[in-house]
Amino acid sequence: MRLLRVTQRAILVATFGALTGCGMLEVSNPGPQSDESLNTATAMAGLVTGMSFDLSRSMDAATQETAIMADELFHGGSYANEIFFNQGIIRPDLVNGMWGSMHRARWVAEAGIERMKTVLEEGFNTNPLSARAYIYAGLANRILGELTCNAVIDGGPSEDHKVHFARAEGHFTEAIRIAGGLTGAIRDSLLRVAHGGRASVRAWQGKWAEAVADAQLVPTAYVFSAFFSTNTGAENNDLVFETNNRLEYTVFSTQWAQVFRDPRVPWDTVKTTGGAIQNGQNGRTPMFRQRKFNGLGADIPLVKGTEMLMLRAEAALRANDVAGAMALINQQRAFYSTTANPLPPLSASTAAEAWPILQKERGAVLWLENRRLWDLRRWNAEPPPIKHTFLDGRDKCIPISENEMLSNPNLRG
Amino acid sequence: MHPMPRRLLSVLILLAAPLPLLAQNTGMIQGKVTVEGIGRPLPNAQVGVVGLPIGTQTNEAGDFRLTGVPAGPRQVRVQRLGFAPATQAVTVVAGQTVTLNLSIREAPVSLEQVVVTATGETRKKEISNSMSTISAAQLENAPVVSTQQMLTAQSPGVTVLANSGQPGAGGVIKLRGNNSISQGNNPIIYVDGVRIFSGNTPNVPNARQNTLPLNDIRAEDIDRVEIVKGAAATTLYGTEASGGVIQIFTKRGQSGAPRWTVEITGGTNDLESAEVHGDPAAVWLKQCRGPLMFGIDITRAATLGDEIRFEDPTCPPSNKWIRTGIIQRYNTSVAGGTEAMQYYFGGNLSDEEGAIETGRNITGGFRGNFSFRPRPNLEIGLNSSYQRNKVAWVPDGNLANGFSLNVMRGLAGNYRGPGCATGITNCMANADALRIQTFTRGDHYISGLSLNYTPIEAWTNRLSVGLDYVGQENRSLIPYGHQRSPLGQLSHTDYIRRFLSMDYASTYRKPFGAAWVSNTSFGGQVFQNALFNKSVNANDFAGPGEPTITSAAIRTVGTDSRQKVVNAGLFAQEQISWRDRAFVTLGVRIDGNSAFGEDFGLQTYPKIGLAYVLSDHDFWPKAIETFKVRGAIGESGKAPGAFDAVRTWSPIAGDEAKPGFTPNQEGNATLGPERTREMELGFEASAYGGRFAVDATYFNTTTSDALIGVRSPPSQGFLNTQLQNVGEVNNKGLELKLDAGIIRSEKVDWRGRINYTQINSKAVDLGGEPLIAIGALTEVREGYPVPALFAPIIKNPNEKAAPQFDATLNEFIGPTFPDKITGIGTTLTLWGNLMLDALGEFQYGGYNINYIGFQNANRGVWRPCYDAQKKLAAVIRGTDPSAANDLTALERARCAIDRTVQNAAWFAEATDFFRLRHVTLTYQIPQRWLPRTNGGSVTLSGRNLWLNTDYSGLDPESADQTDSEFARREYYQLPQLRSFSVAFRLNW
Repeated sequence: MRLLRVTQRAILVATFGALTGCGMLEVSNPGPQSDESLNTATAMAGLVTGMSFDLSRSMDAATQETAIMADELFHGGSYANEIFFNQGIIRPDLVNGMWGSMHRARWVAEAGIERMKTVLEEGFNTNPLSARAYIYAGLANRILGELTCNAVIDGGPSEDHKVHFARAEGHFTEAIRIAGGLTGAIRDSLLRVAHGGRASVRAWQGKWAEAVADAQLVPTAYVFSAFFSTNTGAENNDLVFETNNRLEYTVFSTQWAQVFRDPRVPWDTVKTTGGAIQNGQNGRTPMFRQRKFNGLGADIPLVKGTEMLMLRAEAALRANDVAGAMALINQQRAFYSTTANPLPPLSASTAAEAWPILQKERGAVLWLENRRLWDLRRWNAEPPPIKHTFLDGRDKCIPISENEMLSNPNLRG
Repeated sequence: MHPMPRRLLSVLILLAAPLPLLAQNTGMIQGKVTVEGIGRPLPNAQVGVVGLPIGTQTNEAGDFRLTGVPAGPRQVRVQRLGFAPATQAVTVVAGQTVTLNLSIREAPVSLEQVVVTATGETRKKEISNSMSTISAAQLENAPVVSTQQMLTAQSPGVTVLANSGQPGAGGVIKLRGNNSISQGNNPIIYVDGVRIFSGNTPNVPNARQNTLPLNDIRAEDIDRVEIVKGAAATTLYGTEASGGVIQIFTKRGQSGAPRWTVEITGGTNDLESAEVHGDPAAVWLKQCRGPLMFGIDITRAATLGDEIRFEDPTCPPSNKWIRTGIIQRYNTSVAGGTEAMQYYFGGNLSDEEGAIETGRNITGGFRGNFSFRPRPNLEIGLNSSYQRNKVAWVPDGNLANGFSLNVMRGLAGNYRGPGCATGITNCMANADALRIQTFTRGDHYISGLSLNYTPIEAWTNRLSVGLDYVGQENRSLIPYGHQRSPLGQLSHTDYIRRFLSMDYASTYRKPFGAAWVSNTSFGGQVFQNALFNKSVNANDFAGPGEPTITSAAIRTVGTDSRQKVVNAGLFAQEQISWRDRAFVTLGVRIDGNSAFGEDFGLQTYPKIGLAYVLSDHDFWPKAIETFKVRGAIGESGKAPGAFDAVRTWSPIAGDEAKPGFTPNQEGNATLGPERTREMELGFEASAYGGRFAVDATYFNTTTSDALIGVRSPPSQGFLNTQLQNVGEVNNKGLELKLDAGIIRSEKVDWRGRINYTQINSKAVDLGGEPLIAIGALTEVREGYPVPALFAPIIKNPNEKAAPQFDATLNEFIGPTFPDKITGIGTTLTLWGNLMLDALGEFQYGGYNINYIGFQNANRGVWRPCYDAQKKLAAVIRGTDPSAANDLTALERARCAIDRTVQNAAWFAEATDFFRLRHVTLTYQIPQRWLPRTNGGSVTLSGRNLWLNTDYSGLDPESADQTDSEFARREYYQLPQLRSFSVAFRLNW
């Protein structure tokens, strides 16, 4: 009986020890952050960094794919969707990833602003983070407005894509208001990017004079970029991997393959050990490698002074000021010109001569910066001499994605 | 030495040794066990004295010896899986030996067989659902080394798909198909009462394969495997059990002198049988020099359709990439004990080379099983095993730097090098791929303590506490100076999966009158599943040498997971039996799980079952000695992922390495488990003295509240789908097992067996989701099998015309997994000592995508397309406008030069196949030839000897492991190895 008692006690002790001492009932999942825990002032910096991160991810996805749609790169690899983009086919089922990442960037920024207002209360209007949040919201809307065929806000119905431009203008204006109340270098930096962002979305709404006023406030050398980094894989600029490592996209077969020694459009060829030009991932397309972005941490510009020069040049040309437009174009060329790769001044005496120059120059300045598809789209819709024909017979914008159409009750049926 | 351990050791030695002191009033029983009707000696039968803890096993000659049997009248019982137990009376005289010869009847369906359920041990006749048992004794001569192989084609309702021919690669095991769309369908697995991890480990970087820790349970240590297939049978196992339960029981010692076994196996692995229809080089695996080294130019206008030659100076001197790999295996075990304690020790070492130069799996380990009986009513069991693995992987699968992908792509591969003949522009260097060093090092430790306490005869109690630890290191190095990554890369993953489990079950038996008996059971389980997973990547080393992560200029952390989930449940069961022939069972299980949503609460799973042994009635015809009908309805579940219910944000780094958050998961406070309800009907019968046996089951399973990843509009910010309990999945099917003694005589004993499984699955409701995309061309759609291939189809495949298709319309092709499986086995025993055993398997109804064909055809390197592509090129060039007239639309699509026509869908095809899994020939060496032993055996084996299929890829069973949990595709995997081996076993 003694053994029985000992055994019974041992079982009880073992049970108790296993359940408690060994942590058998312990549950944990460190890592993910609960939603409620972000409702503190100290979480706001991380929230805004997240806005920047999501904006970079949307740029990462969109830059690669719109480059193929807009004749900046050619698909020479094995990915399935890009085969269609090469042909000018942009279907809803092919753009789920790009649509999602662009909308996440917008939602994170706009929902984050509302959370910041609640958490920071009065301090919201004097906090530099608030201005940054508005800038990210503005840029995310600008990207959506430029690339999408239709706007969809927070699961709502389909709207005109220019809704995004109006929202962006509002966000940039708020950023300018808050930044204007700040002091020091951060004030100047925030104002430049906000004015630069607002300049473009005002132009796309036809407000060219106001756009020029904003553009003039951005110095030529100024660049504000979507950040990329080698710090983690999620921060990588994947365009670099696809063009330099995997050899999926090539400059071959684009209009830029005929542009040589232009510091704005740098590319080279990849050679095999036998000296032949290396083919891309599909085994048959020559690999002309873009060299604008050379590392996985290379940033992609979102707002820059030379873009503002081109915007002002376009505004001048639309006002029939050919000389003024060419002066701004040449100012931009001079900025990039180097001794090794000079960019001599260009000349045009008529609008018909100037428009193709402006269109190509804007393309060179903004090459691989996710802007070309919109430029080609809006010029394609204009009469000559503005008319650009590349998108004739091709899809011109990103349709509402299949995932959005299937999951959004306002779009079903 | 400390005095306490010394004393403990002394006690153990005393317990382990036969006790001569006890022999004063005891005698010995010896004899031979033979098969009834044919007189063949029966090895590995358990012989014991009823009511006493005295037992042993028969040797190869069927002989046994029971020592220390108390004098007096005794009942001796003999049993073995596949035979009806037999009992015979004998009188033991103190100090003397009595001879007792027994014979037992073959009974593929034995209702007296004891099996283990959630409530404890019970006879098979009392169970109201189907339960399959695979006996190790049936397979001891088969070339089976892993549990996965042991389960293949042995039991209906079990689907086993090997994913790759790499030594050490894990496969997929499913019971009765796919009940869950999102939560996996692995059965839960118990080893000697300890729950172990049943899934696959993470994909190995640069290998695209993974391991299955279940395979660390060595086949030579296994006594039997019990397979409990449906929700009706697994109710008391609760949440997680809807995929079924596999119980593995390892060997235990028997009282008596130590019995040793040593087995040495040598053999070979090869891929000489690898075949692609219409390609004698088998995508250059079998020829890497010679006249077949060319592709077709489908790119350049001027040379379109021309043959392009290529060379690979790094091709081995044998002119082929495949080799003959060497197999070496060594196993030993010893078992024995006393009345008070029994032991089993086993050790193993295996070194298996694959058919490609670097592929190899070295594994070794040991097992110790002890059972103590300090009192007649208390048994304590301690079972522990440790297995260590080192797998060297061949870079396999969809891997741009991989070996398989580049060799199989011929001149379109990525590895280029010098050294070719002048004029050859396509000079390859594929041996560089083998410089990628990818290893898995694994430790697997299982330990369980069990207490079986019977305070009174009617009341049994069982408590089990267990630990399962899987630790794995995956490390892959692309060395500095490598062609594809000149500065080098290093990937490293540390993975730990730890299961802690505690089970308690108690049963009280009470008769009511002469006819009725009540068995009341209750119990509970607590189970903790802990996952620790870290991965780090390093890029760019300063120079050659063996680097570490810190040697690299760029280091990035990929994963850091530390999750613990707890599931706890209670069950109660009442079984009423009438005249020991009718059994009604009612049960309920109540579960809580930390993965359930905050507002969900507990989950309840009920069950009811009836088993009726009609053959126990007097009116039943004697020729059919066993006939049981059974039916059951029950439920079990499947929990959502660890924290799927919670709304979360993912920490990220942005803005040049600053901390931030991005949306992760929307959350669902009402999230609960899937509920799987199954209705099962069946019967088991045997006739003419066990000569014929049938076990048939029909099942109909409906999973309601199925967890479906529902997508919110992306414009609302959360891009990941959120699990919701909105779906419904139905599986129904038939399982049939036939066993027949075709010829039965003392000199010739020939048995045949057939297992047939048919599973028809259907997604009934997807909660409003029109489809769920799983993988390449693989979807779940309402009204179709789960999952299935959906793709554009050629409307006029056999017409000699241009292909007609709509590239935007995905149509149903077929189920991803085979829906009909037939295993056919036969065993021929001649003169009692020469045995021929063969096992083949048909799998049909499944579909896979031959991505090797698709990707190669697009590059002009798919030999079955060469003629077609030359003709299509001639049409395009205008040299012969009618050249393609004799090509069918399907040929024109598959071999298309026009990129707008090329589509992986044209390579989505049926994987129906027959595979000869193994053939073995065993000769039992007579004891007289091996003096002072209990005999031995020599076995010649062949595995994967023949494959018959119309599938156009390398292997219809292959799958890129990334997808194979649910979706499948063949993407440059190495096919199944063919093996030959000879094994020598010695017993003493």
